Amino acid sequence: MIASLFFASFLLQQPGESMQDLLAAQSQRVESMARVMPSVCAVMRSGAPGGGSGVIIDPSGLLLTNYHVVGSPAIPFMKIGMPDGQMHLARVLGIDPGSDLAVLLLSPRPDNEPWPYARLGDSDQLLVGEEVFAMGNPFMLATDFKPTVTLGVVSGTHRYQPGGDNRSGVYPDCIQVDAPVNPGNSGGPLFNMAGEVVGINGRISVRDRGRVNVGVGFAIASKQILNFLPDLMAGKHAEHGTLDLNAWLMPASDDPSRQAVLVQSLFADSKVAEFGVELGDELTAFNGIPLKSANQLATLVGILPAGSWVKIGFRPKQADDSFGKEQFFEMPLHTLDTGSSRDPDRIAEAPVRRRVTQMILGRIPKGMQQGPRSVSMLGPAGERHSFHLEAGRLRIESSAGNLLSENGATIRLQEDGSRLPASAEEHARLGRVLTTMPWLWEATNLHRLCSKGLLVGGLMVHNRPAYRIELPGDGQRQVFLFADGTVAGCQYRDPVLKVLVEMQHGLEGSRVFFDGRLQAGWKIEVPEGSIKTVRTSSGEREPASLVEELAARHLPSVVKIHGASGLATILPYASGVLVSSAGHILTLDQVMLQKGQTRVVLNDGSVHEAELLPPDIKLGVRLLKIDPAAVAGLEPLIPADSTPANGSFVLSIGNSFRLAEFSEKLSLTFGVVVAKARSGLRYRLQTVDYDGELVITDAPNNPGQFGGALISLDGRWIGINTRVVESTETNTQISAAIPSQDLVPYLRRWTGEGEASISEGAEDSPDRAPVEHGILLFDMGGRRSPPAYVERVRTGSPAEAIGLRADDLILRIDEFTVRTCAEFESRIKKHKPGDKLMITFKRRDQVMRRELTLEAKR
Amino acid sequence: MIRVLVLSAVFLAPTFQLPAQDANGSHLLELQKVVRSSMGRVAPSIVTVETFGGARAAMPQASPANDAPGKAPEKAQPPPKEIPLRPDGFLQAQGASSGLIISSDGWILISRFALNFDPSTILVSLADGRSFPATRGGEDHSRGIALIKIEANDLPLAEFVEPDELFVGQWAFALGRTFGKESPSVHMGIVSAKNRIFGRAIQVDAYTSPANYGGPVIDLQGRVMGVSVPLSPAGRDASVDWYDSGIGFAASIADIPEIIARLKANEVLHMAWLGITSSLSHLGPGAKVANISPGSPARGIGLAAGDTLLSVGGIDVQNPFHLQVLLSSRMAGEAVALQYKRGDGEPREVTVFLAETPLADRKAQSKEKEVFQLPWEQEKKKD
Repeated sequence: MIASLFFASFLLQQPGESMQDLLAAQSQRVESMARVMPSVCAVMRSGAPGGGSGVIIDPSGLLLTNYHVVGSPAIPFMKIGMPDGQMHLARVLGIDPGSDLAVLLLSPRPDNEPWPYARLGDSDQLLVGEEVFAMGNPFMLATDFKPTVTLGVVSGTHRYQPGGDNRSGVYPDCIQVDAPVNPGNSGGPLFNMAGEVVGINGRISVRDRGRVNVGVGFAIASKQILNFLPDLMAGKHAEHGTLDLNAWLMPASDDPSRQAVLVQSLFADSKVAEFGVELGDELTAFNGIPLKSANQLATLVGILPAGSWVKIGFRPKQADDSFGKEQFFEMPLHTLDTGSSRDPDRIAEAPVRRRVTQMILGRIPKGMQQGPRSVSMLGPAGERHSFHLEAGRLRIESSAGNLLSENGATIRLQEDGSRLPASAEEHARLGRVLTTMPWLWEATNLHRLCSKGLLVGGLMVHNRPAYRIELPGDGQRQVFLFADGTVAGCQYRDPVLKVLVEMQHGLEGSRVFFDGRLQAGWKIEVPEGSIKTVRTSSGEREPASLVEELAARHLPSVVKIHGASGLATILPYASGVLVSSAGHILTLDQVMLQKGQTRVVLNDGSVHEAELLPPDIKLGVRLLKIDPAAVAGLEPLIPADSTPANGSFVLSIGNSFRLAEFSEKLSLTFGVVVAKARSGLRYRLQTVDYDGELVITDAPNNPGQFGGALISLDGRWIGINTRVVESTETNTQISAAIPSQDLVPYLRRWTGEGEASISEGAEDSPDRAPVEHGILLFDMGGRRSPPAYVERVRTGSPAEAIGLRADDLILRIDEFTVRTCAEFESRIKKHKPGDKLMITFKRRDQVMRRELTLEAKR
Repeated sequence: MIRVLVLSAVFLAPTFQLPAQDANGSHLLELQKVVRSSMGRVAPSIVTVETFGGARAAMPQASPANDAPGKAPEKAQPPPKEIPLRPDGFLQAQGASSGLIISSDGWILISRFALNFDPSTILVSLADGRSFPATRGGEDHSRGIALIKIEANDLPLAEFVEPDELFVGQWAFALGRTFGKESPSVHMGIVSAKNRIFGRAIQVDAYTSPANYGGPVIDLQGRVMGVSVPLSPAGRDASVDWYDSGIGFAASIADIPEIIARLKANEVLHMAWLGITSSLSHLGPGAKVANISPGSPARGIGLAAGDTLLSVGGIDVQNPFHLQVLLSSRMAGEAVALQYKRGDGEPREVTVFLAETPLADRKAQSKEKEVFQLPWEQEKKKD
C-alpha cells in the first residue's frame, strides 16, 4: 500500500518540479556572485595600456592584486575601476615580488562610506572537484568595469609553479583551476561558493595557440596571502624564506625500495649546516609534517616569510650508508632577496599605518571575561617568571625577585614576607610588563593600549601569521596579534634581566627569545580565559559534492606513466587508466613506451616497472602490465555501455602539463559531452585511420592528460583521452576521447577478462579495387584546389545514369562535406566497387540528391 | 476514494528522492536531463551552414560553364588569390558553421565569420535533413552577425529571452550543428557579463568556436539569449583567436528587432565612430579630447584637442571609459547630440552624424598582436 502511494506520487510529480529546483539553485548562485561582485575591480597603470584585476578585502579600502599588475614600485598610484562604473585612485602599499602579490590602499570614498569588500577564506579546505568561480577583467573587456565571471572546479591543490628565477613570481603552493582565466584576470579573486576569496588568479599554462586559457589556471592560495599580509599592509617589500639548501627525492641508500628526501646541496654558511646537516642526509619532517617529496618541502617553505622560525627533522647519513637517529632543531629561515636589501627602510608613512592598525584592532574579539589574568615564562631548569594582574595591581614572581605594584609604587616582597622598596630597574620592569604583555588585559584595554601603536610588519608564530604593533616608547615594545585579533605574543626590553625578551605563543606551542636567541626548552603558559586564539578546524575536509566524491573515488584509478625521451618533441610522460585487477594499464601508443624504460607511478607515489603488451594500431592504444600486488587496493575502471548523450557531464582525469609528481594528485577538469564525431578529424602530424566515433568534450584536455580517463556522473569510464585533435571542419583544436566500448575487444583479448575478441581483423580494409564513377571534375590541380564542379560526365557511367551534368557542384558524398576536388578524390578512395553513395549536389539554385552505385574500373 | 488517497500521497511525498545521493548529486543528474531536453526544444531551429568557393578556392577567369552549350555562366569569380590557411595566426572560415532560423519563411541568422571568404555558394541543412541553397542578406559587423535566406515555409522557431531577464552566473549552453546530424553539439558555461561590446553581446564562459559560431546560446529553459559569434571591443577579427578560451560572446537578438529589419533589407551595418581619443589623465567628469582623427565626424563638427565632452545624447559623460560606451553602443549613420566645453567657455551643443571606423584603421587594428590595447589609447602611437 505504501509502495503504491509512493509510486503514485512519483507519477504525479510535476515535470516542472526539477526545473523549479534547478532554477532555485541557479538563483542562489546568481545571488552569491552578485553579493561579492562589488568588491572586484579593474586595476590599471597610469599612462600605460593594459591592466589587471583586484579585490577589496577590507572596508577601509585595502586592495589585493598581483605584483606583476602593479609592476615597478616606482609607480606609487594605480587607477581602479569599480563595478559601479566609478574610477578611483589607490596607492601601492606593500609588495611581495616573491609571491607575486601587492597590496594597495584606496583613498577614502568621497562619501566616507565603507568600501564593499570580500572576506578571505581557507584555501586548505579546498578539494579537487570543488566548484569555484573567478572574477576579473580578461582582455580589458569590462568597458563598464563590471567584471567577467567564470565558473569551474578545482583541478589540483598545492601545486608548485616555478618563477622566472626561482625567487620572484614563484607560485609554490598554488591552486589549479579550470575556471577560465585569461590575461587581464591577473590579481583578481578566486571565490569558493560561499563567496570567500580562496585565491588570487595570476598565471595560466599555455599551448601553441598563444596566450589564451586552455583549461589550466593558477591562483595564489589564500593561506599564503595571509602569511604575507602583515608585511604588505605595513607597506614593506616582503621577502620569502629559504633553507639555503636543495633537496631531491631519491631511493634511500639503505633501502632502495624507499624514497627519501635527501640533501642535494647546501650553503656552507647556512643555518642548517650550523646544526650539523650535511650532503646526503635525509630530511624527515618540516614543522611536524613528515616529508614525502622534495616538491612538498619546496611547497612548505615557499609560503613562509623570511625569518620565520621552523623546526627541521633530519637523520644524518652514516659511514655505512644507513641513517642515524632522527634529530630536530629550530632555526629562522634565511632571506630570498628580491631587492628589499636595496630598499631596507621601505615602509608606509605613519598615518597610513595608523589607518591599517585600526583595521586590525577592530578585529579584537569583544566581551572577554573580567577577573585575574596571568602569563608565565618557564625554563627547562625550573626558571620561572610569572606575571599576575588583579584588580589593577600587577604581581611578578620570578627567580629575579617578587614584585608587587601598589598605589603607583613598586614593592619588593622578600621571602620572609617583609616589604622593601624596589630598585629603579625593578620598577621599570614592572611598568614595562604592565604596559606590554597583552595577555594581562581585557579586550577594551588591549584595544586602547594598541590604538596608539603602529603596524611595523608581521611574523609567523608557530606557523600562523601575526601582526607586529609597535607601542610608543623606546621603539622596542611590540604586541603581536593574530589576524582575528587574538594575542600571539609580545616583545619588550627587560631592565632586570637586561635582555630583549620576545614571547611567542601559538596554538601549537610557544617560543621564548632573549636578544633574538631562541631559549631552548622554554615555554609560555597562559591560563584559560585570556585573549588567546581559539582552534578552528584545519586539515582536509570530507568530500561533500558529487564531483568531489567522484574525484576522490576515481583519481587513484588513473596513473602516471614515465618513459624514454630522446627528442625534444616527444613527451616523456603521460597518463594511463587501470583496467584490470591484474595490473593492466591502458594508455595511448606512443614513442616513449620503450621496453625496460617504462615506469608507472601510482597515487601513493610507488614506482613500478611496466611490461609492454602489443598495441592496437588502429585504435592507437597500448596495454602495460605491472605487478598485480601493486594495484591491490585500487579500483579498475569499468567501461560504460554506451557513450552518454550530448550534454551529459563528464570528468577528465590525467596529468596535465605534468603538474603532478610522485604521489601528488592528478588533475581534474569538468565539462560535458559536446558531440560524437567521426569524420574530418586529424591529429597534429598524421591522419588518423580510426573510423570510429570520438567523444568530443569541453572538459579541457592537455598534453600529459592524454591516456587519462573520461568519467561520467555515475562513475563509469566513458573513454580514454586522445592527444589534442585538430578538426578539419573547424580548423580548431579540440579535446576528444576514444569511447571505452570501442576498446573492449582489445582489452578482452589481452587482459583475458571476458570473451576473447572474435576477429582482430574485423576492421580490415575492404578490397580496394579502383572504382569508376564517370565524373570528371574541373580541377586546377596543385594546392589551390577549387570546389568540385563537374566538368563533364562520361557516357555510360554511373554518374550519367543518375543524371549528373556538367556545372553541377558536388557538395557531399554521404554525410561528408566535399569542399574541394581533393576532398572528393580522397572520399572516393575509401570505397570499393558496388558501394552506393548518396551524392548531394547543387544545380543552379537547387540542391539535389541522388544515389550513385560505384562500378569497377575497366 | 482512490483519487483521495492519491491526492493525499502527493501532499505527503511531493518529491521522489533519488536514493543515496547528496543534494548536489541529484542536482547534477537532474541538470543533465533538463539540459538535454532544453536542447531538444531548440534543436529543430538549428541549421548547418556550409560555404563553397570564395576568395580562397576561386575559379579561374575563364569559367568552363561558359564553354558548355546552353548553360548560363556562373557568377564571375575574382582571380584566384594565394591566401595561406592562417595569415597572421587568424583562423579563416572554411569549415561548416551553424545558423539559427529566425523566421518561418526562411531567414536564418549566422555569424558573419562564415562569410569571411565571400563564398559563391551557401548551403543550409535543416534538422529534418533537407538542404537548401541560401542567398545573402545584410550584415552587422558590430555584432558579428549576418542574415541569409532560404526558400522554405513553416520552419520551426525557437523562443527568445531578452538580456534584461538574464543574470550573471546563470547557465548558458552554446549549441551548434557542425559535428553530426543527430543531435546539436553543446558546450556548457555561465553568463559571465552583460552589455559587452558596448551593449551588443552577452559574454559567456562556454567555449565558442567555429564549431558553434552562428548557433544559439540558450538558458536553462531552452530560450535563446543570442547566437555565438567571435567579437572583441576593438572590432578585430583576431577575436577568433579567443576560441575555446572561456571568453565567448552571444550577440543578443531579442532586443534588436530594428537591426534585424535592416538586415532583412540587405543593409551592411557598422559600429559608430566619432574619431577622437580621450586623455586618460583626466578621469572625469566628462572626457577631455586628446586627438582628433583626420576626416572624422569629430573634425567635421569642429571639435579640437582640449575640448571636454560633457554629454552624449542627453546622458552626462562620467569619464573617458563611459564616453566610449556612449558612442560605441551606437551604429554608424546615427545622429546624436553632443554637449562640449572649450576652455572656460559656455557649454556648446552640436549634432553629429556618426560614421564607421575607416577600413584602414580597422585593418591596422586587426594586425595588432597586443590584445590589451584600449581602443582610445592611440595617443601614444600618434606622437
